[in-house]
Amino acid sequence: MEFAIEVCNVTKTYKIANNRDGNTGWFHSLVKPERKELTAVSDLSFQVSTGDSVGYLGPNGAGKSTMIKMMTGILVPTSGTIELRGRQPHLHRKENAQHIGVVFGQRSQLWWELPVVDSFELHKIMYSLSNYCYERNKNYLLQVLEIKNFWNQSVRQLSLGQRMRAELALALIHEPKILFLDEPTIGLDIEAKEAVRKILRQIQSERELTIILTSHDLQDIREICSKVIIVNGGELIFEGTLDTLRAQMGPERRLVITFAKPTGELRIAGTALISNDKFEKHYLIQDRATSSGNILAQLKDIDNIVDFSVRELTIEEIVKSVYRNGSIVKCS
Amino acid sequence: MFLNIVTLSFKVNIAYRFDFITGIISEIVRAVARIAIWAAVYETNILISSAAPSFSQMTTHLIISGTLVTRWEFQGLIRSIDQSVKSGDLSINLLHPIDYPIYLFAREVGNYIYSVAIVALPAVLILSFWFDFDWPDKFSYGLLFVAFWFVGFTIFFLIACLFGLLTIWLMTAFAIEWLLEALMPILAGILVPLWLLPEPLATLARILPFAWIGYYPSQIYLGRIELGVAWILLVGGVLWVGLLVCWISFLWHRATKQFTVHGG
Repeated sequence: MEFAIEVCNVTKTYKIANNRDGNTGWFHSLVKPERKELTAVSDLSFQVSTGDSVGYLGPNGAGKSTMIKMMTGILVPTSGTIELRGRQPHLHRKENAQHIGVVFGQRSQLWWELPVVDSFELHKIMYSLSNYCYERNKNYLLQVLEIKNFWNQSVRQLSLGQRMRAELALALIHEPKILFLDEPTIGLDIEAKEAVRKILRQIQSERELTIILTSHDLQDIREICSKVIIVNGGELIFEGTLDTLRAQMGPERRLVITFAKPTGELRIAGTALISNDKFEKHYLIQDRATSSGNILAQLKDIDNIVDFSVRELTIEEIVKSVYRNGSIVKCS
Repeated sequence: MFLNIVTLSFKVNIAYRFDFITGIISEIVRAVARIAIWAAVYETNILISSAAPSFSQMTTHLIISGTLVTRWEFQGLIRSIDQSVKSGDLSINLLHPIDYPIYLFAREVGNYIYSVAIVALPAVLILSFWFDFDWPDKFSYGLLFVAFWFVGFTIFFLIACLFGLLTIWLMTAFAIEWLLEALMPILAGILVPLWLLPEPLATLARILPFAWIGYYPSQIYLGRIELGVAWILLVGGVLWVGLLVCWISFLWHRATKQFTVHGG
């Protein structure tokens, strides 16, 4: 199988200033600065096949953006190797740039003061696109991303949703083989998010793009990605499909009980209390032996229950649980 | 690609086109202040030797070196490098198949062309009617002046870019800006022509690249340097360009290796 991305034992450490506390700490830090090493990515290895769409997940500070920046050639790994279509990105930054498209949800590649068209014209020259190739891609993207209406409008006058569509089009105008998306739906409303997801799905299937997506919105991952990689503390803790992740988490279910009157802490055998509100309590059922009937038997003597439900964990809850535990906890 | 970036940069300036009125007024006020100081000096005959230029030549020197050729906001470049390092936007520039310093040069050429065409030239025109202003005597000096002007701006950009790139390590733009702001008027001969500086500062200033930014272009314009010497100086300017390009390439190479993106 051909790999679009191969990451092999990659580690990235930063040296950051360690400011000392106390009244004279600032003076010591000034005269004799102290630095400490921070590991953002630790001995990480994975492969992404050509045409795959991979969600790269992790809590804040897990090293996601660092990894994306190493894969795009912006950052240099401290050790280990990264290859994009056989090339090390930081050593072949300019050649690599021809084959990748990048969208950072929190940064813009468009010229803020100028009409959208100007940034595209510049990219046409920058990426040495022929007139035919440029016109074909432009027409396709204008139609798919519906940006015709604001094509000649200044970027600063666009809504966030319009700007993000323009960013996506700009990242795709040179027909990249790999598309990196770093939180592309951040700040967008529900409709705009759905539009971006739909477009990405369409482009991915039509162009056989390899997509690497980081997002805190798991709906993005569910709708766009066929596979997920979860990292925490710079280390890989899961690689596979969302279904595999759910299967590996075991038979965890959630019990939610709503009370008519304020109720204190209530223990139920075979469950763990995870949210203790006066009117609504959440329990995690980790044991396969704890059946719904078993729970019902325990609840029948409590008189102020309005409602209760037992359900499978959502993918958000599973991922949250993985983040919290720092690893996949397999339950029997 | 270079010309495209120059054009876009020019268009960005046009988006804020009403800046030009305040720009012209501030340039005229600054030039008048410099000329007034020298008018007072010439009236008292202090410092003025037989070798010194006439007052009209001095006025022309002040306008050419202070208002025309150095009409570029180098602070904007240093601040933008500093800002893009601190915010992490520098990463966007690293994603394109173009070297960041070349991109910056193209962008600043666009800014400079706007600033000269829309602000400096009208200001010079107004000042030339107001004060005794000399035009080049010979066509050859006029042509040489254009060559010096181009080399001078390139050196000016390269020095500012070199200082700006230091912000990647120092993480502060203000100190670097202040240093350059202090050095420029003296070493480029904008406020005090280099022949009035005490030795060995005068000799040092003649060798340092700052002289090519303001002093030599205005002296060539006035025809105060012999043609033979002027050609040697032009070669000297080109050598400075080469040397500065080497330093910037070295710094940029190191910067891309060490670069740490701030802000996730």
